Amino acid sequence: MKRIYFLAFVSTTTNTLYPILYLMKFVRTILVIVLNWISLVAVSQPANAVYANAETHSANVTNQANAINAGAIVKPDNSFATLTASTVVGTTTTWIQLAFPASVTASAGTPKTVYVRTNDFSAALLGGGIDIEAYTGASGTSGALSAPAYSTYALSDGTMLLGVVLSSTFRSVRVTLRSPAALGSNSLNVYHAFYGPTQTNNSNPYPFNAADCGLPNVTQTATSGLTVGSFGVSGAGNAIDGDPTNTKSTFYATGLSVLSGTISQTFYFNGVSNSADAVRLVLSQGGSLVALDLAKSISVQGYSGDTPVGTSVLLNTLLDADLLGLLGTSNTRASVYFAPKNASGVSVVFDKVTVSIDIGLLGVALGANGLNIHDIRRVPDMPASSDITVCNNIGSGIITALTSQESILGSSAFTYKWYSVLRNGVSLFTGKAYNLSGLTAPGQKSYYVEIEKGSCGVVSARKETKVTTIAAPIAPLLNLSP
Amino acid sequence: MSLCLALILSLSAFDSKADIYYVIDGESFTLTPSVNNLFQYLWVLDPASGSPISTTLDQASGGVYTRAVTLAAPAVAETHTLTLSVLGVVDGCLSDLVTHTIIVLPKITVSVTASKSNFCLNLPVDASLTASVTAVTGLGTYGVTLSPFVWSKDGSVITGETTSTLAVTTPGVYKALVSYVLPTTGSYIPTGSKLTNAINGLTTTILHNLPVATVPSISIN
Repeated sequence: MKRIYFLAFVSTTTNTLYPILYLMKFVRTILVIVLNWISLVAVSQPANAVYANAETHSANVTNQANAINAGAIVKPDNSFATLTASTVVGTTTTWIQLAFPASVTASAGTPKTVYVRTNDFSAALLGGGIDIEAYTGASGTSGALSAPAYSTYALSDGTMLLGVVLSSTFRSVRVTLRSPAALGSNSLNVYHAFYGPTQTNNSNPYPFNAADCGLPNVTQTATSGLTVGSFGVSGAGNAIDGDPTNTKSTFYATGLSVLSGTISQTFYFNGVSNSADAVRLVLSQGGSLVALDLAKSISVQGYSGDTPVGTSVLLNTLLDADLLGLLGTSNTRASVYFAPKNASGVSVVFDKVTVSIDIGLLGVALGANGLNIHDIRRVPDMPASSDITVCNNIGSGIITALTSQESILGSSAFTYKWYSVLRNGVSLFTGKAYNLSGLTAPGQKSYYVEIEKGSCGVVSARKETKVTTIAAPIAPLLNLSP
Repeated sequence: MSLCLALILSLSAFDSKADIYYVIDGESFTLTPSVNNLFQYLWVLDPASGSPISTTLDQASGGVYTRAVTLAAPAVAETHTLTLSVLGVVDGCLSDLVTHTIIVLPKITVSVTASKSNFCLNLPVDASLTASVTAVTGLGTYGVTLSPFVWSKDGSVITGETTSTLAVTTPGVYKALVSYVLPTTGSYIPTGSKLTNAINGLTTTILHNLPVATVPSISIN
């Protein structure tokens, strides 16, 4: 969610203050631009998140005051406490317990998810680990809740959220870091803990924000069926940092003893999509796999909460020859559009998308730089348009496009642009109705129309619109019968 | 169907002036298209007037258009326009409009008056016939003229007699005719014409059978 800070100025209406007002406006604009940029990169919390504001800790914790919303610290920010657990003679544990301002009511029917933001510890903890427990007291270990294991979410800035779903009333959570199995040290940075009081589901508790330009809030990675070797997704948060060019997450699998199993990355969007939304994926591969083979092993699935929606789609069905060519070339990005639809071709709403590679289907080693996801975000699906037929003796016609989302967001929310090519190219016309003329030669020509929602700068896929020019007959010569 | 509408609405479609046909007031004429298997032929007579007459002909008819045009004033020649557009196939494109000109010429009556239509048997026939043509107007617009007179006696043409008067010395049924001469220069050169029944020549009969009065015999008593 973006945060926009407005600096309010009190002004008196005298002429001498006008130059000052302009300077204030300029400064405010720069400040807004800077803060918007920062917040695009910053973590995504609900606007009404409640942060832990008191803490207790064990030894080997430094900067503990940074982990709570108290005193000089206003959460969310990027300050953190550091836990260090070292193994010298035997293993040790270090913990910090973060308490909320008041008891948080939760039950099996209305659970609450607590998120703890930490640094990225996915590099091995050397056989140690992290535990999270919840308690009814603000400190101490009385009133321990039975909590399931936490889920790990990657954020766009490289930090992580550990989410634990609690089904009974609690007051505090304790994060415990265990030292390595052998001699050595583990360390963990803890930024803060929060929960969303108005969360409506456990898989995506963030409130919907229509103006988010479609970026996911958090992402998760998972593997299954893989044991021996080095495998997973590195740099998960890079896929959701808003940079579709340079930064990327990478699916890798090396040293596998058997070629089977799946690696997946799941993207959580800011609430449920509009009807007729799609997802734009920017992908590349770092190796030299055959693009078609790679694409046939990748599936994309939409979810609403934990329920799969729409049919699962293999990536090769979303790629045409040009995109296959791009994907086949190492480190060359291809933009692919995926619009979740059910078996009847009707658009479905979703708040989560999972991209999975089936190593068994791929058949060969994924390698160290298998699949890269540079960017994934929600965009409107391509607009609808109708093909037209034009008579060559009229030579003109109008092609029009319309997105069904206009009924949700209004017509001024969208910019329509027409092209003569499916990708790239120069826009021929901006607007819903494109007047064509000079259509004097019989034949068929295709035009392609895309829409951009607001000023996000990300456009939908292009809809092909065919213009067929047919030849008109000629009135024949006459013969006057006597 | 939207194509038809589009063409009808956009009269800026290329419009070509094509043929010029001369026909006679009230006499039917037939125009046959050279391509007879098009899906539909749309003829409109006088599209720009207050009362255009549209005729839509299907493929089976071959588009053959038959019509008779009656002059508003029987002695005044008129110009009419006849447009043709065709559809090659159902839901296909409508052709450009072709505009033809139909020039309707009045019917002419040539009447003959005789100075004297019967003569005494004992006198030679000596009549002077004068032919007169119904006055028609509007021919000059097109460059149409009337030919010199052609006199005939009892159905046979009298050669060399081309003026409006004929000196007659023998009885018989006399008739004078003229014909329309269509222009060979100017803007109204005909593409075709149907001028049958244009001219009605009225006959005049010159008789020579007036009985001579017999002088009665005189007797004195």
